[in-house]
Amino acid sequence: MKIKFITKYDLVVPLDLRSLTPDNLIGKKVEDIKNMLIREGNRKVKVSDVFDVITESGDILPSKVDEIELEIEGKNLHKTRYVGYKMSGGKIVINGDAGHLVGYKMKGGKIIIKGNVGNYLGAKMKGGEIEVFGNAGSFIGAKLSGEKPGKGMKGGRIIIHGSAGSFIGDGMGGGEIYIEGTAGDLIGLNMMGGTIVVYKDVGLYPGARMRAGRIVIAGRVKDVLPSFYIDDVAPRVKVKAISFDKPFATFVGDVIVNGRGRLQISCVDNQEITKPFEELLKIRLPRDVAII
Amino acid sequence: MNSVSKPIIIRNGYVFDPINKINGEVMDIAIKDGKIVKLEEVNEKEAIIIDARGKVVMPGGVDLHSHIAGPKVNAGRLLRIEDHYMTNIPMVDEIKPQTGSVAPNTYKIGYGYALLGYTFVAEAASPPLETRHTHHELDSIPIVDKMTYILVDSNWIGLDYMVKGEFEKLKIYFAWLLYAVKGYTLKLVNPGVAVPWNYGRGLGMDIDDQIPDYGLTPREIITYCGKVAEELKLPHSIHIHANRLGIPGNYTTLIETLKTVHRYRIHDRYAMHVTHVQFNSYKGDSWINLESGGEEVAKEVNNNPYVTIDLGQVVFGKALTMTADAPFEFALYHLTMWKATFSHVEAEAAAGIVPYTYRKRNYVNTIQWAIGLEVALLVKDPWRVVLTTDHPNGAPFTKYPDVITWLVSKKAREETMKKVSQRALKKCALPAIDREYTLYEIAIITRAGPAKILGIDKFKGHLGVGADGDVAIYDLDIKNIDISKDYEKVKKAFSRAWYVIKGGEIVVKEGKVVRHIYGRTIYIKPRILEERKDLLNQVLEEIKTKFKDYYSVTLNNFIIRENELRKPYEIVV
Repeated sequence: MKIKFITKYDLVVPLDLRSLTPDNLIGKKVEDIKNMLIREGNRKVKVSDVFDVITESGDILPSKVDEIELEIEGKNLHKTRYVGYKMSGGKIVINGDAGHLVGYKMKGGKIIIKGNVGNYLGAKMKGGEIEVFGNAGSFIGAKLSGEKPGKGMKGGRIIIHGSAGSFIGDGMGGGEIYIEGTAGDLIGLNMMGGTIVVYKDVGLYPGARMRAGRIVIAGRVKDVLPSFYIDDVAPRVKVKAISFDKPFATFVGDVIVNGRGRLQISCVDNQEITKPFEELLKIRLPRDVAII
Repeated sequence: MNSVSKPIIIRNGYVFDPINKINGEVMDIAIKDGKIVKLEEVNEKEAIIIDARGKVVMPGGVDLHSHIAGPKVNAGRLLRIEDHYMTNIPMVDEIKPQTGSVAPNTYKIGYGYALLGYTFVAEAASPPLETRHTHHELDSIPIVDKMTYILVDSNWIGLDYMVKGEFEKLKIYFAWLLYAVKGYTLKLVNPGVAVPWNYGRGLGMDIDDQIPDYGLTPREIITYCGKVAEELKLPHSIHIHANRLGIPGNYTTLIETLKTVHRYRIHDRYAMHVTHVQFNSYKGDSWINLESGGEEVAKEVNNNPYVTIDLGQVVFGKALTMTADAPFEFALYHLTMWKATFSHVEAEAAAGIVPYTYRKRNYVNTIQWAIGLEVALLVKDPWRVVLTTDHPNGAPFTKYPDVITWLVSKKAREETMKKVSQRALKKCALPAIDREYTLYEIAIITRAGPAKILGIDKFKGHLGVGADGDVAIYDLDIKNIDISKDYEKVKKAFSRAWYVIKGGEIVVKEGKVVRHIYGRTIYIKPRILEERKDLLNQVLEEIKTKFKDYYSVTLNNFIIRENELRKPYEIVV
């Protein structure tokens, strides 16, 4: 069942929506939902103070979480925080922008954002899917700073049709992130597992301090860290259902943390980086010659 | 001492007041003008009457070793930022916002201690040069009264006097130092270790090893400092963190340290306090065959009436080790390989901070947990044992109720022992110990004992007439429950005091902090500074030139004046 939240006014201060998740609305009456308390700025307000709550049919929400669909509409939705906090099923659609920490600690279900989204999208998520049609900020699928590597995103999937900022998948331990546009610096920092795919260009040093996992970059890379070594040049690369029909150079690293992560960058777009390595791979050494 | 506040009468509570030898008797207690008075002096019609029927009334708790203020605590907060994400409590009326669990902010420290029924906390180590910062942070901690100890073990000027054997000058220098930075007593952390640490050495320095450049041994430093404390008659004699902390086989060093008290003791009183003995009671020669040395340490403490100890009990969970024992922290960093921060205070001390998590299934952590309880249960005289977790090294102070539960109930210990490493338990004496603390003994190790050890038992740690009006009331009906069996109720009661009164004002009401007030900062003024003016001037001349050599600040900027403290309280000795 669909339940719609339309803002009554333009949001000015941050609005904490962590209690408006499908899990929290199971079997509730619409009247009860209107009386739920949410935090706007430094005070607590009722849902009905901020939103018009509209349902398509009926007054009571279903008792199964997967049948609930939330739709949020209005202006200045980039002021929202914690949309889909710890949700385990159902669907949330945001017809507009969303703020920081969307899908924080999410376990299942789906979040669709029609506009842009802030930082820490899908931070520490364990399952489910997030789809963003606009651009996203930094720290997507990341851990919070100060935590140990591997405490970030553990599972699930994030798809961004636009571009994203820096520190994508910081401390990520599993799951998949697809970015169809460009990305910033230091993607896959402290990565311990999972996959990051960027269709276009990225900034400096992807995969710094990564121990495991896979980063695929189909566009240009500003620079690759010297602590990565070449492993192979593959004629094409496949990530689940997506395949890139051009040669990719596979690097392994980051050796400063004894990492075995794979960083695959497109050879065509990064001639100046991959050319020397391609030449190197062509040389067939006699068996008794050791490289020192 | 707000004279506007109404007098208070606490009626019908079970009173535990070990200093006045009151053991669970039903009594009334009256408080007026911030002091405890006789019942007749209070006009009942004007007074606030608290009906404590079926509740336990104790003096406000005294914690004599806790890292609550100073630059190292701030560095710890910065290091452990992930501690502050989901622990925020917003501001409500006059109660300020709180955050953090192992590295809490100053407000949370004050309120947290108040909720446990504590009204007095001592900051455990502050290098003299950084003590201005320590005092600023102490001033920011609400409710509790506080004091700070001053690190002197690696003070270059002090060591210079020791090498030359100029004891009188050393004595007056330390007396001046205590008064100049408004400290309470001399703290020795791994005596002398900051000197070899200048060269990257010093890990595992034993009590009779020579310190480079000076040719002194830690034992000599302890003797000199102890002698100074004894001759100055400091209320709390030297406070020692013994050598070789956290190294397997270090219990012999601890016992040697305890024996050093006989070298300098003059008066018939406690002459040495050795802190967090748990970290210093390891038997065995590596982490793999580590054993508990709790029994041996307890035996030595039982035989030596001049020493007092505190536990430094480990509680499983997150912790943040911060100590001025930098070489040990450096070694610990290489065990954990996560994050750490180190610092060096010019000419005085070094320090390190490493986050650490104590795990139940871990062999070493289980032994550490057992040692603390063993020492507490095997030392016969509870007056010489103090309950601490060395906040935040062993656990944050909010875990004190857990420790109390383990001490009062064998059943609680057995419940926990089921979940820990069984291989480790075989190396400990804890499973065979039957002793259970009574509430009277708990009152001793949390309030009366530490107050006596600190030498502030005239106005803290008891409920006799003339004491400060610091009272904690716990919701624990001891006549109707068996604390040994219903240990969950004990834990619940001690986690949130029902009422806490600080200086005659109700600060905690039914488990909630209701007032934001500030306590006093207690410091020492040695009388010798007045009596030996000639020698003081001579020493000051020498210090002035040495400050130019050793320090980046001048002598005038080093001295902390009384008006820099929020509520100074001077004790002249």
